Amino acid sequence: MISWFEKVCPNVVQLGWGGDAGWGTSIFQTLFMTFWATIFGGILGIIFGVLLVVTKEDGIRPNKFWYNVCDKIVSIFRAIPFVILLAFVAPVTQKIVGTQIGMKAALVPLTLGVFPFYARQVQVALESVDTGKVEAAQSLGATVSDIIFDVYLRESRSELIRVSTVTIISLIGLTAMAGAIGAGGLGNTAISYGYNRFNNDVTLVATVLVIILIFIVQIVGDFFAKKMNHQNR
Amino acid sequence: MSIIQLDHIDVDFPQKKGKVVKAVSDVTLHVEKGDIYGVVGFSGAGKSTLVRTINLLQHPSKGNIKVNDVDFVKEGKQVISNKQLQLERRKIGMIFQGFNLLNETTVLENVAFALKHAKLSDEELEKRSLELLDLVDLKDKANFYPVELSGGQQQRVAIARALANHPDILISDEATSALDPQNTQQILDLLKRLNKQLGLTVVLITHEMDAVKKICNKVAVMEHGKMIEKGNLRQVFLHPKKELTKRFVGGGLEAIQTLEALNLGKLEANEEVYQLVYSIANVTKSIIIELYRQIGVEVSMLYGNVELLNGEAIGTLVVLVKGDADKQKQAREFLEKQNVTLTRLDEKGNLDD
Repeated sequence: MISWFEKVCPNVVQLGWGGDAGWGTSIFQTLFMTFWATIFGGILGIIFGVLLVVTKEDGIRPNKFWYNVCDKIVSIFRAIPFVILLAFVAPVTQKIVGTQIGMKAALVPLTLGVFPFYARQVQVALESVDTGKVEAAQSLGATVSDIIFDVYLRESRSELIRVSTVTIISLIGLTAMAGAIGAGGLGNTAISYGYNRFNNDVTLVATVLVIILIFIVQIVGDFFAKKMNHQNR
Repeated sequence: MSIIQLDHIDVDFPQKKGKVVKAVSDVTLHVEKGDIYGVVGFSGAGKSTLVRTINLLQHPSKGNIKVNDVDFVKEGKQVISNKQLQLERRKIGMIFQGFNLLNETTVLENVAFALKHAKLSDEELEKRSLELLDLVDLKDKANFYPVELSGGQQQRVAIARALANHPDILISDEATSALDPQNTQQILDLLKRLNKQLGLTVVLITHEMDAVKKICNKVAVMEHGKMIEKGNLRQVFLHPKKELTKRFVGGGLEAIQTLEALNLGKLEANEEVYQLVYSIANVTKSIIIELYRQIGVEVSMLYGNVELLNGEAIGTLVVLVKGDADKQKQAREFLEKQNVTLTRLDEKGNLDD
């Protein structure tokens, strides 16, 4: 089996598991970038999503100024194509991380690239919560934080998991792009060791690995979204 | 001292191009402690908008609001801080047409949510929540999710939740409108029981006059954002002043449908159709027979109905009376002397003035 695989995909085997170019290393880098960018981008996205819903004209604490600030930041960052964003934030990355290359450096543009997308999705998910539930909570004398955590976030949790799944999948796509400018990961392997060296077997295997990763995320996401749903829909 | 004082309330909804829709205009409503006050009207009459100003879910454009002796709004301006309002709202329970339970938490947690700021230990919290569920006979459903309950059961959970902080007032915003008759009856009985047991003041908004008739002691009728009639239920029911009210009471619409079905054709000159509404306890003699004996007019029954008005039997008759103008006048005077509310109808059952 192994010798057959070696014959069909010699370059894949040649890259090995460990080492700078190894498969283990690149899988770890992809997971590392996906994980931390999900955490940072997720936190920022939820903060912005919640702010957008709360400060909206008919929100629980309407505030035109903060709504516009959040709305514009999200819109502007969403409008920048990711490849350009990578270059654009490079000086900022240098300041924060101390370097412009590598998987840690990639976290800055990845976070900035994914949070506005996520913020909009969170906004839509929260707005899908019936305003009647918010009013009922208000009529019970609930505080703003009660309403944010116990009504908005809790009631939309299934929807939030669904949009998080979509976001993580698109984030995996972004890590591949970041790989192209030296962040490592499966994207880097597919381009640098596969495409640029005409080693199509490497590109193929890297692609399959990314697809498997995305499938796992999708299946896990769907499972929890279904499990946490007790709505009337 | 009224527990709820709404004075000269206006609610305007600004539209595009500077237009304004007046949802409520110049309405004054005082609710006494222990009242079950019904607010009726067709959809869009502004009754819900009006009542939502009591706990400031809706801000009025003009007027004064005072609840539980605390000023909420003076001359259209909120005079209570948001923090203080949160505390006051805990004394005003509210239930809704759509139940508005939190679907991602269990029935028990839904009730406990209302007690979040009651500073109870975990055991006390659970004990009190279960007590409240017991009050609405749903203790055994504590660990169910709302979606697993029927509509009536969900509304009872909402009532338990609304009562969590020992409120003095319960506002019911079309709370029975989404329920079948059996569940509606159950919820109304429960409200009546709570009113008696806990001395709860209830404000009941509904488009179903039946609900009001069953449990209210006072009623207000709204139309086009104005309050056209209000007062004691019996008073309003037996002596309605406005046309709309007359249609709401005494099975009005049903009587009209019956007359339409009868298809009387044109009335003769000596024929008149009357709707008679009266309290059965007050009328010991048969008024129909007395009309014939004393006045000598012929009376044919077209429609009859008896219903309970907050426990009191009220009869509604639609009759065709034959007799010349003089006899007709005598008949009317006789009926009015008997405390019968008399409304002249045309042959189709419409009000004839």
